Amino acid sequence: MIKLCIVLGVVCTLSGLALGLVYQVTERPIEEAARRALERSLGVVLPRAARFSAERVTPCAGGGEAVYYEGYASDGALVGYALMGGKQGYQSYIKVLVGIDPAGVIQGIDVLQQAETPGLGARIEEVAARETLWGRLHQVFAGEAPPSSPGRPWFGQQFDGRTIDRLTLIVPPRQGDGIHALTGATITSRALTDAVEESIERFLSTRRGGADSDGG
Amino acid sequence: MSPGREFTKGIFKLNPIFVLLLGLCPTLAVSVRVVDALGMGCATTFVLLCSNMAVALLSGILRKHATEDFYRKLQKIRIPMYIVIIASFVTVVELFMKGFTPALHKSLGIFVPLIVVNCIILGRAEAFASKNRLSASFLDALGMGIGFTLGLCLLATFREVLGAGKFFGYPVFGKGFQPVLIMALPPGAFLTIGLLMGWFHLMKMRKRGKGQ
Repeated sequence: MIKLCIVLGVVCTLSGLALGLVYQVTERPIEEAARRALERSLGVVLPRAARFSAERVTPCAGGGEAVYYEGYASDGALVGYALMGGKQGYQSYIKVLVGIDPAGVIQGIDVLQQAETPGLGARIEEVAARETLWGRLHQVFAGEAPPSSPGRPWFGQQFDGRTIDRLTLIVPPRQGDGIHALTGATITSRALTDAVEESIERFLSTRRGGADSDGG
Repeated sequence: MSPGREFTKGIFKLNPIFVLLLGLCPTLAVSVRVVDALGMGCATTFVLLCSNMAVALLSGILRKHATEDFYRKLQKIRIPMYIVIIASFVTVVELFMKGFTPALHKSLGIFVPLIVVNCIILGRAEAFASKNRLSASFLDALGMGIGFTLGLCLLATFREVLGAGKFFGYPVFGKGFQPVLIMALPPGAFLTIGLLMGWFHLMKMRKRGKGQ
């Protein structure tokens, strides 16, 4: 019995050592990749900002906290805030980054994390295709490089230039001004829209709370 | 079995997806897009190669140096040993994916850590690598891995073209194409696997019929 434990222990120790080694090698690249992904998202939601502050966490008046980044132009002027938001979707938690200017107008949104149904809810990250497979193959054989940036998801682009009071969800076949839900993925569309709305509300409430305490 | 046979059996005669019907859970989940299928296939192949070789090496050493009585006793802990080995290699793959291909890691999500419980890997460790030499186990794993990857990509091709109208992320059809949504959902994978399996069997039966 003890001998069996020793054999199993040796196997586990060797595995543990190997894992420790790999972890050390990949620790840096993993941090780097996460940082790059966040930087890319910040650039998407606040296109006019040249640099960003570190993460800011402010407690809200009604409980919870607002997590955000400040964006500055190259001349040092404040151009807006990137707010972290999130909400349970149809089958996964949807995390979103929302960029607003100081007046509260949405500059852009970017979905950071989601695992919704492929072909339905996952289309919140679908990028409108610019070319067909045949066009792309033609390019490959002609030796042309693919387009450098794949473009932004069209669902998120609907939020650009809107304020918090213009985020009504329009479920097809209804028409009108607002965020048009994805066909067959109303729950996902609503969750994302709510996440955007709530993150802005939370952020604005910290501002108001701050102004009150300043006055008092 | 000749080395060539050892390699090709995983691709055709004992294809993990269409013949052995192993590892169907990740197969249903990641065969929606060809890119993901290819990534998952490569990750699984890597884990399969490493675990098969490690298991073959370990059981070779134990068979050689342990007394017959102790070797028999060791059989009691062989599954925990395989799982530790497989889980380690899966963690290695996940760490590397996170660091060097974050986009692929994001789209494969939970299915990378779940390679641990993929039946193909434990199945090959138990049925083949623990009884065979290192070189044979290597070829077996390579063949099985390629067979799994090809099967996954074949399924994903059908599902992506019909379910999204795309191949490798690029639209195949004109603007008027209405995607067949069920193909992108799990039932689409069952339908495709069933129809492809039926077709493969039909081909096999025809071939046999001709031979007689």
